[in-house]
Amino acid sequence: MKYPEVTINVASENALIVYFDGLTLNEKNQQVSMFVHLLQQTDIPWVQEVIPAYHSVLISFDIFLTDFFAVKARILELVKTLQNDNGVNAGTSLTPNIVDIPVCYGLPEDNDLQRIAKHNNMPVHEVIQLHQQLSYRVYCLGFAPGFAFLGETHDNIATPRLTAPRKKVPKGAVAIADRQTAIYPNESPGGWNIVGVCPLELFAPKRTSPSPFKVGDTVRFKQISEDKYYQMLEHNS
Amino acid sequence: MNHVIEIMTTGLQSMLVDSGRRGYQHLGITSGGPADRRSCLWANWLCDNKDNAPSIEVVGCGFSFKALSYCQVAISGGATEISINDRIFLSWRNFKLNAGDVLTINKSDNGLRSYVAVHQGFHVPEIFGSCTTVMRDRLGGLTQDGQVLKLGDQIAFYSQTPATELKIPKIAPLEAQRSVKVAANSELTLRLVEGYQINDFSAVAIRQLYLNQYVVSPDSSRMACKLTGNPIAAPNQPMLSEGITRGAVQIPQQGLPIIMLDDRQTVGGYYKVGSVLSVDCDKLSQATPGCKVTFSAIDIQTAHNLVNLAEVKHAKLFTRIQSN
Repeated sequence: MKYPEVTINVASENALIVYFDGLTLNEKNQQVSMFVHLLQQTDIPWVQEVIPAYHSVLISFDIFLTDFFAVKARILELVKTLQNDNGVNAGTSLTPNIVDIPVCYGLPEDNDLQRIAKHNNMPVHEVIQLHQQLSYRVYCLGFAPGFAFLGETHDNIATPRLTAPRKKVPKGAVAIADRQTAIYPNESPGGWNIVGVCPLELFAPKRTSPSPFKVGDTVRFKQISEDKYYQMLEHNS
Repeated sequence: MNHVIEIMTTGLQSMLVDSGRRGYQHLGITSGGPADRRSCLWANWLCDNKDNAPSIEVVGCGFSFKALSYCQVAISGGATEISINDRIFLSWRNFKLNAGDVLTINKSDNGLRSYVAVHQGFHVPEIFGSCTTVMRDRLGGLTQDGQVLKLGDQIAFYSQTPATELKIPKIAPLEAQRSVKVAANSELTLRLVEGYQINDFSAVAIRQLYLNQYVVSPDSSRMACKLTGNPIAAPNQPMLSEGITRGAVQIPQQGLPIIMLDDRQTVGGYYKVGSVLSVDCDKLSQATPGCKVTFSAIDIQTAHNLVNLAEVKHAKLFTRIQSN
């Protein structure tokens, strides 16, 4: 794969944002994960935060150790490294992590399966089937700790956000917004269409690995029964 | 001996902070930390503490606590008048408290937020390397789940004896206090480091942004400062979410700037014109609703210079702490 050009913009006095190019969103996001991987392997003392997202990486630096221009030059060097080996080295050392997510579809009672079905003119069981049919890429983590934006869903289940967001989306809710899907790691307000609920603890601050997700991972949904859901939930606590 | 302070009244809101949660934004965990970093540093400096020692951020006046054993504390930020038991003092200095003494922040005329530091810092648990309270992340604070301080909470500090005693009083130079002061109805000029999607806005919209005077909305919080005033036109193409810096100025479709502060979400999908300089974010965090705000453009070179100069200035002021 050819490693395309990047665009670098100022983000703040001590941060810049790198945008990656590519034919598809998936291709851009692959550049993002390869670049972040390379950045992690390169020990740079001035790096403070690295936030990968769909097609961008925000890097903030210690303003008392370096400056925008030196950081930009270093970033371009790293991008060149990726271009020269066509992403091969960075690509092969990236082990694709697959995360399986059990989902009890139809829970909680206040869900949006009917709304999605109606919007896409299909029966509810087909929505459930299509949601599980594809595997998804983690494009970005954000919104709340451990909240992973996954994409893209089958076109036939894409559904716009609710016009009035819920005040409380339950912890573990699996939901759809346009062609994205996600799991709410904690109870929070939210405007996504709920399809089901997952019994796993998706953000545990005291666990060695607080979130099972990182940008570039593959996520698959597997339907479980209501009994199994409560059984797994109990097992967690 | 019980080396704690006990919260008697919380004021509008009070919470534990340190220099914030660093290096976890890729997980969606925000930095948090003191909204007015400069004032918080001064409270710690007046206690001979490290920059990142845990302290308390207090909103408004009416906050009070009781020392259950001897300790040395300092108050900075918007607080203008404090009392210890029945005696009245000015702030921006350190104090000795004996067991049973009650310290109250009576007036906060120089800004919305004050800082309470204790010698050696409060002795509190950390999560993701910080005690900083972030309600929306459910992280930090006494119980590590993002709760702000409440009546009766006891916060531990390290045992202090006359052997560890600081010079008292240590008073910050007036110039330090003046440089962070934001009185009610102030007019602030926020220096905007242009960047992000500024080139996607029309020239007219950007000109309006710099000509408009905005007003700080009561709907502002530690997450973001919202402004009211004349809207400007924002691009209406869909945008992919991306990382947000402290001070990032988002222009949503309704056209009014939202300045992202310490408890911001880590990613977002609104168009941004750049970010407000960190030292001006400190001042904006002190601004009460009704304060007036204008933006002034600066480039990245000027931004670097201003941040470095501010650092040098405060380091120099610190060497002039008065003791008498």
